[in-house]
Amino acid sequence: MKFTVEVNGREREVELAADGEGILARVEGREHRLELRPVDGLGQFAASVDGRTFALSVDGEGEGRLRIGLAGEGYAVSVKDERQRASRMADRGAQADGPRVVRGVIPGIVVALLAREGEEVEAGSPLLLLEAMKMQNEIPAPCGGRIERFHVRPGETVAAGVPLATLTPAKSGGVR
Amino acid sequence: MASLRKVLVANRGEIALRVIRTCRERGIPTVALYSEADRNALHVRFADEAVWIGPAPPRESYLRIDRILEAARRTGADSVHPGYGFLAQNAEFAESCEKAGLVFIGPPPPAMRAMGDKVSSRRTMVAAKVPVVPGTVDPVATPEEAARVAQGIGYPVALKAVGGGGGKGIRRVAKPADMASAFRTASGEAAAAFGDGRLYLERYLDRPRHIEVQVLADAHGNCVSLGERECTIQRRHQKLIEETPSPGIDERARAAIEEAGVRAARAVGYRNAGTVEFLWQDGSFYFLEMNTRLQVEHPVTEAVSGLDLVAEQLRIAAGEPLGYGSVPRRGHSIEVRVNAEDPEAGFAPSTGVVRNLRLPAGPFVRSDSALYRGLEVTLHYDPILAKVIVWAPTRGEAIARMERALEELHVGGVRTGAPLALRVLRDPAYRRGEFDTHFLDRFAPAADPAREEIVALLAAAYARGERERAALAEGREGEAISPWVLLGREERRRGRPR
Repeated sequence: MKFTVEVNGREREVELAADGEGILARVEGREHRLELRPVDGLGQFAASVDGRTFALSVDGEGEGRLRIGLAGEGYAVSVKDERQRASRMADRGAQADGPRVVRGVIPGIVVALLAREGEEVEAGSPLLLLEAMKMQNEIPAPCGGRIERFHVRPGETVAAGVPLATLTPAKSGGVR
Repeated sequence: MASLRKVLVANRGEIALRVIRTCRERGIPTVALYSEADRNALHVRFADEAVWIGPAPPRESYLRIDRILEAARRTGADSVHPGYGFLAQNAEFAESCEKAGLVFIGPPPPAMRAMGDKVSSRRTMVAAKVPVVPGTVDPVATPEEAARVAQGIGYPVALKAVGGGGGKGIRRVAKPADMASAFRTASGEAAAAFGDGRLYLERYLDRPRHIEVQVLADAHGNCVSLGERECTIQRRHQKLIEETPSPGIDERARAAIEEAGVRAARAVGYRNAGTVEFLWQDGSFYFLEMNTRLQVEHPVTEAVSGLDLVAEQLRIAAGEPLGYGSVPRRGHSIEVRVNAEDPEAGFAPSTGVVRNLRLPAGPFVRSDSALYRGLEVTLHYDPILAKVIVWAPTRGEAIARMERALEELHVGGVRTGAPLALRVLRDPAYRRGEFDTHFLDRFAPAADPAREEIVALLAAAYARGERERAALAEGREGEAISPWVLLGREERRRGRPR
């Protein structure tokens, strides 16, 4: 089975196979023998690669995205199998003209909406004001277009990654 | 004088637990306070009593002086420990405690006030002959006057807005020819931002180190230094790694800075534990401010001095004399703060539920932590989740020990700055002790492709296991017994949550 694994922004193709002795992995022409056993059901694993052992931590962040902890370092990882990879590519093609969902990068409290639903905005113009750790941050429109709707209201607490607003990109609007 | 009978801890998180631990060791009962968000917190579970004081936002709970005093009255506490943050440096709170007949475990309110604002503390320090950053307190009127004054201070200088803050209206001026234009733009920016275009001048320290002195003062006129702490590795004025002794100063400089710290504390009639912060550059040090409370990084001082600073605070508050004139120090100690933040996203706060947790242990490793499985990290409070502190005979051994400890640490569910701290510890310049407060701004550690390959392999194996598990759950157990199926079975047998 083949996987496309992105670690800290770099993609690698990993091929896995099982034989009588366990897991055999191939990456960039090299072969490795792996072991991976869950320890506590909470994300701790006992792992080994070619006989070298590791205490591995895995935290799922949804949609194939993982946060992996290995020897104190943190890695942003995303794993896709061949089928998911193909459908993701298709998505990207179809998405270009469709509505765009604006998500917050940081968690915060919505202080104010700085535009109205139905309003036409330019790329970079502020959509709403988000307060986190006593700092106020304006969330800008990623592209020019019309605001279909806001998904949040002033006073609401939002987690990172939740939809804040949906925009329909203008035909000529450049993506920032 | 009689010792304290019951201590109310007016704080939360790791510092509340820290204070409670010492009280327990001394047999002094404690009262914890908690907001709605902290009902299950460790400081609540390890105190003797706990009182609810309001909803999650601090201004409705941990900052409510009236409710805190009411909690003390109801539980019969005779003293209040403010921890750090919240009301710890609020002179009005200290006064309210005293008026209510409670012992405030901290400095007298006039000392807090004297150190509470930049202008008055600067004047007091000048009078006490504690060095401050050379410059003017009064504004300069024209670019010509500024250039004249700058000549006396020495370039580079900083032009700063009198009404300023937040980085607006500040210009670094490297040479006389740049003064006129810098003055105009800084003044214009300050006028627009604060409605006040007046500027003053200071020597610009372009690569300072942050070095601070821990002092203890009792009610009998004794004041001692417990040595300095190097807190130069910071981002946005928030410390990440602290250590003692400082690798950047020699014995003579150390003696001078400690002496200045004690002089600063004496100048305001200080009592209890306090920290005098200095900037250090080119062999000179300058008073920055005094923190009139216990510091986050106090454990490194504890590690080299063998003193429990909270116990000393309790003794001083109870009126006992220090009983020592100087304190010998041994070895080297480093602390790393584990903050809920994402260094890869400009240190933006990180929130979530901590499920996957592994704290470090082993020889000479201390974890001061508010973490537990199920803890929800919210935006309401300070991002400090835990601190890891190590001790070793030498700095090199202490760095190696902290690397080992951070390799053991894992906090899942939120991002923390710990992986970044680990990379700093491995940086050659850090290891040589060569750094200034801008170190993290320029820090760009190289990727480790070999390590990333191992992560990629294990991530793929994990994903494959997840798929097998999903297939098993749907009863599609078709394939012959594979290693992944075994993995899935084991998980199922253990009753895997989520």
